[in-house]
Amino acid sequence: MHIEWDEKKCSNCMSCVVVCAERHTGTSAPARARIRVFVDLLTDNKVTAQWCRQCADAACAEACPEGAITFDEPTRAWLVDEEKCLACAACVEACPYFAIQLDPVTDSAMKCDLCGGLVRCVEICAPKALLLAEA
Amino acid sequence: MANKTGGWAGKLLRVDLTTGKIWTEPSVEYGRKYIGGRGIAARIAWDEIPPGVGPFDPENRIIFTVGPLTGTSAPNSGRATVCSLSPQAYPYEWFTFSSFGGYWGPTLKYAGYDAIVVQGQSPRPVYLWVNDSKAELRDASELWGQGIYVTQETLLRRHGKDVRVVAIGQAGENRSRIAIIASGTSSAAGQGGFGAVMGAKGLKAIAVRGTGGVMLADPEAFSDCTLAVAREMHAPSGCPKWSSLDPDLVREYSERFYACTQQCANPICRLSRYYDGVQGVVYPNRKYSGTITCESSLFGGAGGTIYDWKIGFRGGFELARISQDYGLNHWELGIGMAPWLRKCHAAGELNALDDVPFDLDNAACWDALFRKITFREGIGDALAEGAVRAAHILGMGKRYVDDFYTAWGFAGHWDGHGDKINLIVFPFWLVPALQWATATRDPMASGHGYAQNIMNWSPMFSGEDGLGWETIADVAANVYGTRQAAHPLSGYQAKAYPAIFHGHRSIIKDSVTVDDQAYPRIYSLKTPDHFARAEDGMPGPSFECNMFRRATGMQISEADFESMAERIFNLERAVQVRNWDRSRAVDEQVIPHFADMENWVNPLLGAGVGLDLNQFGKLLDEYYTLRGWDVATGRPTATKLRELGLADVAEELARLGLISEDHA
Repeated sequence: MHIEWDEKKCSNCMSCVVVCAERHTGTSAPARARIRVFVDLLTDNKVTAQWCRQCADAACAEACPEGAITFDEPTRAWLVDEEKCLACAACVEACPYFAIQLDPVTDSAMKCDLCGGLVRCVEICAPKALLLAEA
Repeated sequence: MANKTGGWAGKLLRVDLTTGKIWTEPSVEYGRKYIGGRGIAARIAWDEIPPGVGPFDPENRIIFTVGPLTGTSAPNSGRATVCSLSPQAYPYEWFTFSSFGGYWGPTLKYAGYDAIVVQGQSPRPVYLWVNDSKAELRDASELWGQGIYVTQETLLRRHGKDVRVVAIGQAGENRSRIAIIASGTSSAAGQGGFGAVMGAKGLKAIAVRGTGGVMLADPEAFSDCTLAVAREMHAPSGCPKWSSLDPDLVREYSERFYACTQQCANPICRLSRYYDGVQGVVYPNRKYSGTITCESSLFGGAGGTIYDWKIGFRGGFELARISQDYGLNHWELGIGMAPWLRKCHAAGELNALDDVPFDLDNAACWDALFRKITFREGIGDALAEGAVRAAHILGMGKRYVDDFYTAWGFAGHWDGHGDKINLIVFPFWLVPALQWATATRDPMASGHGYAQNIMNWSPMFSGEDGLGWETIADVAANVYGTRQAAHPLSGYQAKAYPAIFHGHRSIIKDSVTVDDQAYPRIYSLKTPDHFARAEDGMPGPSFECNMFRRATGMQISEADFESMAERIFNLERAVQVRNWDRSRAVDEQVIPHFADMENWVNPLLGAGVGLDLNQFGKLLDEYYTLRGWDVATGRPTATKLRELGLADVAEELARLGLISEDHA
């Protein structure tokens, strides 16, 4: 299971980004969100997004020297064990989708965990640009 | 557990352009008493703008504010409020407010500020560069004379693509009283003429980078609440006439829905669209891209009305881009100045704009009009003062001004008399009439909440897709306590309370901050009784308070929240009383406008009406009485001010002899 984002439907509203940060960090801090949306201010458009595909062969997990990124069967998501993470950023460099980053506050790798169930970014998305896809 | 404080960023950024001094002050105590946004600004105006100061004086403050919900997941919370003395307001250049969407407000919050308060006057053009906790004034001599797009481009190139900018164009530099402060391609603080205040201060732009975040008192409960609110707003919701995209425009110009403010929960609205590569009409070698965030910013006009410019989509889009770049107020031009000029033309009082034949069905004429206003060329020098002042300066079309300008120098909107496009019939414009009477500008947010909401849901506008009149009255009774507040045959009954209720909602929206078109939630197609509720049963009109509580951690009742808004309303009125001698006699200046015959006819009444002076006088009595104000003077009583925690304000007004000390 993973999130899919449709550029054509996205309205650049940032709800997904902000709510992700709120659920994972308790603050409305886009810099700490696991999903990111970028808008070019000069056109108010050219929207791009960075989000986790929960790859079958996850490059982030392979790159991690500490084995800190493992697949969680119940939630069908790759999770970071913050205790093991040394913030070496090998995963950040390995991910082709820029979907794993270092949290600027905790300095630990952070990525989409599918909210452990009710996926907040998908739930709040008004134009349904974000959907949950099987496999 | 909600035991901490959240929502507010915690600091005010203070900037004195005369001395170049920049400092911060704590803001949370302001917020706990005045919410944020317009509320904080009202307190600063009371404390720091004495009587006699004008909009272009260094002592004037221009206050950019956000609120405790700005930049959170609260739907439609991506807004900033701007408050200052208004160059546009007429005949009094009094303190008023404006607001804008987009991304700047949230970014300011993420940088750690609840407001930027600017005072003084810079000896040379500058811009303010806010890089998280660092703020500095930078030379803007190379930006001065540039439009809003180039200004933003330059600042983004210099400081990074993640920076968000508000700027003025040449219109603001040249102190046009209809100059805007803009961000992105179409967001703007339009009404008020605040672009001219920035111009007078020598402040070209404010660029902000915000990489932090907003603490929340109870993040889990808060985001559960905002999700419930968002779901209630998700389509199908809101006005029944949400429109769809035009397949032709999708193909040609990549038309798509666009959220005109951050966290918009219903972009499938009729207001907001993005277009790419639209070829110009006036300048066919140019291609324009950007957004239209409201019908008001599309100059194509409205077919079959006095606002039909016959210049087509391309011409309209091009003109919207050009006027935005100059920093001119689309809304004012489209709904106030242009129809007034056309009427002057039709009456033979205006044949040409200097050397350009007058023809607003020709995009090139509009382009010339914008240029003349912006650079104060020829007739544009007078028009830059706004239509109301221009009529006096030019001695032209004075008797037509009132056709379009309801009061205080602002064009009509949702009042049944001024604007000729928004369908509103008696008795519904009685509420806007009361709001105009006590307002400092067009009471747009109040008018939308009551009049637009009722009319859009009514069979008159939405036909079978809307709600029946009796259903509307039933739903309204949940909010106003009586069906008479929104029944088409209710006449003058129960109109004072909705005017006060929505006056407060307007304050709340501009203070927490959320979008005017989205709140308050009243009518719905999703509930059996059509009263808006979230899935968990939370009533629509309670959304703002519930989100405020969970964000800030303030454990207050809805009644307490309402009285915070009432406190702000009274403080704004106190500023009016102290600085401009505001009174009932001033409020009553709106009466002649509403005494004229209405623009549309209530089909259930069968004939149009104007204001009944005797009955409206009684309605004003009722309004002041409900407010706890003195009925003869229209001023807050000392008792009322003390009850609202404004004892110092009561004391000062009494000391100045503007209100009497109560013997309570």
